[in-house]
Parts: sequence; C-alpha cells; structure tokens
Amino acid sequence: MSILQANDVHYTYKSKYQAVHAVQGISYAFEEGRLYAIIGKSGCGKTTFLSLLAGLDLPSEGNVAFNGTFTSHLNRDQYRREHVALICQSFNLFPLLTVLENVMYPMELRGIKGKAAKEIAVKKLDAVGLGESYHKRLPAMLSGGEQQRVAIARALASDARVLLADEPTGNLDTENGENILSILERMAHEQGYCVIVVTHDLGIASRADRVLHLRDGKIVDKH
Amino acid sequence: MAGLKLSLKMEFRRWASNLLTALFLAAATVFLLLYPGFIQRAEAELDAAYSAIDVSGWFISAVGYEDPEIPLAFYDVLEDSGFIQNSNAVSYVSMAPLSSAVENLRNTDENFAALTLAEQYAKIKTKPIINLALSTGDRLYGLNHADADARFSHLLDTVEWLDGYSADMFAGSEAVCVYPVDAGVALGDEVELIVRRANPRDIWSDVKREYMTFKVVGLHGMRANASPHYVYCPLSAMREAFSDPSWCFSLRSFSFTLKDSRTLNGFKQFLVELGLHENEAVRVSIDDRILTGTISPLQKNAALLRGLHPFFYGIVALMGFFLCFLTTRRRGREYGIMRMLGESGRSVAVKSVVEQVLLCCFGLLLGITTMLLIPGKQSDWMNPAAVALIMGCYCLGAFFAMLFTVRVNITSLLQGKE
Repeated sequence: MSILQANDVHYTYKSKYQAVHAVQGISYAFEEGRLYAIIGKSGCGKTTFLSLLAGLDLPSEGNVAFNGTFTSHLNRDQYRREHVALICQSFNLFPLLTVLENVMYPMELRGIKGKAAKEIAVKKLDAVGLGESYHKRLPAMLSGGEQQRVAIARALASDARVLLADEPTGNLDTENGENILSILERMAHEQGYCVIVVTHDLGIASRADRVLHLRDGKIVDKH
Repeated sequence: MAGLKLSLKMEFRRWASNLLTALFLAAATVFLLLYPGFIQRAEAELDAAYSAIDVSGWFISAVGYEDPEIPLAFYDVLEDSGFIQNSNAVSYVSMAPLSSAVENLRNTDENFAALTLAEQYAKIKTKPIINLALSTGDRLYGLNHADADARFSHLLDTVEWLDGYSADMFAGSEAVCVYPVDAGVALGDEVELIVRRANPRDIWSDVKREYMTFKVVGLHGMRANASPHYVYCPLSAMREAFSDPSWCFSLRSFSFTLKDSRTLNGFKQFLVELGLHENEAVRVSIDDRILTGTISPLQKNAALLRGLHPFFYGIVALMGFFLCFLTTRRRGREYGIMRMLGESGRSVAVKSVVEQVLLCCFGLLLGITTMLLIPGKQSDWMNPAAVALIMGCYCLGAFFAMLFTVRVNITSLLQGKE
C-alpha cells in the first residue's frame, strides 16, 4: 500500500498579472522502502509538487493523501512534524544552534527533551557518520557535505517515514554528493523510508528505484 | 512550550543585536525614571518663583490724578475674598480741633447747627481761620494698621504711647488717636475735633460736619506748629464714626498684595466680576510685570516637560517596533525552518513574543541597576508604574513588528529564496 499518494494534483500560482499553472494533473503513488527521483528542467514544477507532498501548501485541485488521509484534513504542521521530513539544497540548519542542538530541535517539538533527546540525536548523527567531535560545532564550522548530513540526521530524528529531498546534492561536490546519495539509498532500502528526491542530476536518477520525469507541470515519463 | 529552550538559546547567542536593544531599554529606563524628577524640579522652580515674587495692586481714580474715592463695599469684598493680604487702607477727612471760640458759639447760639461755615466765620471772624476748621489741609487719618500711611510709618518711631497702647491700636475700633506733640494735649486727654466732608462745588459749604471725640493715646513727632496738622486714628473707629450714609464715607487709598501669586488670573477675573474693569470712579492697577516676565518661561518649560512625557513613551514603543523589526526581519529564514520542521505559526509568534519580553526585562533590569549606582534616594525615582509602562510600550511596538516579520513563505525557503 502506498504511504503517499497524489491524485490529479493541480497547483496554480496566482499573481496580480498572471496565473502560472505549476502543476497540472499529477497522479502518483509513493511506497515505503523505495527511492524516487523527480527530474525535469528548472520551472517544470518539481519543487512545487514536492511542497504539496510536504503539506506546505494545498493543491488548487485534486488532493494529496498520507496513509489514505487527505492532507487537507490533517493538521499540516503536525503532519510535517511527525510524518514527513524535508531536506533542502541550502541545508536549512539553525546557524546559532550546534550540530547536536539542530538534531534535537524536532524532538523538542514532539515533547522529547533533555537526556532522551540527546541520546537519540547522538545515534542519528552516528548513523550519518558524524561523531562526537562534531556535536558542539556550529553549522558555519562545517563543510557543505557535513551540513547536509546534519540535515539528514535531523530528518531521521523526527521519526518521519517519508523523506522529501529538494536538490540535496545541489551545493555539494561530487564526493560529498555521492556520500549523501548513499545515505539516502540506505535509508530507503535498509530502513524502509519512502525517499523522494527532486534533482537535476541524472546520476541520481539512475540510482533511483523509480524516476518521474516532469515537464510543464505534468509527468511525461515514469519508469 | 515545545522548542522554547532551544529557541531561547538561539536568542541568547544573538548577543550583539540583543545588546543594542538592551542598552536602548536601559537608557530609556534611566531617562524615564528620572523624567518625573525633571518635571518636579521645573514645577518647584515655578512654585519658588510664585512664592518669591509678590504681586501688588492698588486703587486709582478713574477720572483724574486725585486720590480715589473707594467705596467701602470694594474694601470689604476684597478683604473677605481670600485673594489679598497685607492691605493698606487709608481714609481721611478734613478736621480741626474744636477752638474755644467755636465751642463758645456752639454753646451759646441755639441755631449753631444750621449755620454755614461762612455764617460761623462771620460771627466769630476775629479768630484765626485755622481755629474755625476752614483749613482743608488739616486731616484726620484712619489707618487699618500703622504702616498703611507712608508719612505715619516714618513718624512711628517718634510716637510716645500711653501705657497699654501701641501701634496695634490701629487694628481695633476704639475711638483713640495719635495727636501731634506740642499741641497742648497730653496722653490720655480727650479731644473734640470738628470733622467735615467738604462740598466739592463750594469750599465754603460742607456736605456734612460733625463733632467727634477721641482719646489721645499717642503723641507723634510732627510739631503742632507745622502745617497742616495730621491726627491718626484706627480706620474701624473712623468707619464707625462715619457710619451714617450721609457722610458718603470712602477710602482714599487702598493697596494690597496677593496672598498667592498663582491666583493672579483668578483675582483679575474676580475684579471683572465686581465690575472694576469699567467702574466710572475707581479702577485697580496691578503690578504683575515681574511675575509675568519671570513665570512665563518657567510655565512654558514645565508645560513642555509635562507634554513631552507621554511622547517619550511613544518613542519607546516606536523604537520597540523598529528594533524588533530590524532584528526579527533577519530571522525570516529561521522562522521558515521552524515552520518547515512542523512548528505552527502561532507557536513561532508566541516564542518571539516571549523572547522580546525577556529581552525587555533584561534591559529594564540593566536600567534599574544603573539607577542604583546614581546617588540619591531610591524612593525618589523608583516607580513600578513607569517600569510597567516602559515594558508595555516596548512590547506593544515589538508585537506589531512581529506581525510583519514572523510570517514567512516556506515554499520560498524551500526554493532557497527568502
């Protein structure tokens, strides 16, 4: 059974001067334990589609369902807190919190505090290869790859089963990008996450279990 | 509140911008706690000026330069009004000691009372004019106190008093007087005086003439052979003696000082209500130039300080808005991350409010601590209401700023835009 399902999803950006149909009728079911890649040129609607899957916004038409429940019927803040995790190209870490504190943050939102939160955070950081020496560093003291790994650890700490990554290797060199991709693969195949990656990189697409090719807001190819 | 601890850690580490806010709040606290003292000082200066500067006034004739004829009603009303103090009230009538020739004529001629001055003179024309009380220069003065008349106040040191009497006698209403020395009378003697109210149209005829008896309780140093002669009695005694309305008794001089210079405007209004601004016979002249010149800038200063007081609280609110706006605007990305991680907009806003309130408390504490280092009594400046108002104004400004800055477009954040 699919964990996340898009049913004839449309989304239109409306401004004073024009309406842009960013997503036009996308329907797809995403399952756990798989790595999905959504590819396409800039402006084809990939990020918009991802944001709808993440519950950051609601479709203009159609719906997105998580475990059979429409996101429009859910508390979308709770949905992002507990069921989906986002990883972005720009890492989106809190610059004034240490590595450990950044990973602990989502746990505090769920009411896990103090020693318990710290223990979980340490485990997640170990899982992405960041040992104790990294715990007290600020993000500015880390490389791009290390920051992205912290972001992944934070996503793992939220206990979500769906991981949405928007150009996770976009700001990384080849080696770091490869490391991140390996972690995402492991999460999907070994830990059973539903990992959906939006990317330009065809190399990533070649490693994905399923690829969705978008153009002008529509799926033109899937395999 | 979920995530508050880490959120406060971030806020604490944002020390540079927070220090700026805290220093502003500390300075505002010091200033606004001291400010009421500035107002008090200005008002005290104003009070001191009012207390130090007397305003005096006096009656003048509305028709010419002669001594005014001041109706007693004005005197009584002003004395009872509560506005004035240290009044100098003087009245006088023409008088002369009763001469033996006139006394003889009075005792022998049954028609004496009907005689005019000219007829009396004709009957005893061999006597000197002065003995007939024809000299209008001789006067009986009624004073409400010894210093009411400048001439008598100069003579006061020369006065020899009868035992049991002093200058305080002018406050009473006993028919006593101070007579010229060497006038042939001794202390304790009774003197009979002819007092007359002259007819202004005919100096030879009187409106009224009366014989009045006074006891001599003082002898002043102006010699009897000096001319004219002046005799001084209490004003109240004179009033009683001339109580018959036919005398048309009035004051010839009335000056006063205001009890409280602050009541000047009220006093002027009072005079208007009495009709003294358009009275045909008398007017009141008030010397308030020094007071007005001194008070006016002090009043403006005090009024300005009072008027600016709420304005400064407004400045605190405005600065709260701008400081919060500038600092939280740069945190848009942070707020976006919080929302992306599943924090509700309400929670983000409440945390921001809590951070600003704590920052405000820190600034206030810093200000109060600074105040403690200033020498002086704490009770003079410590005002919990002012502290609460500073906090309220700052937080109000900060709250409005946050309405603009806490909302973020998370999708833009996802796309790397802010």
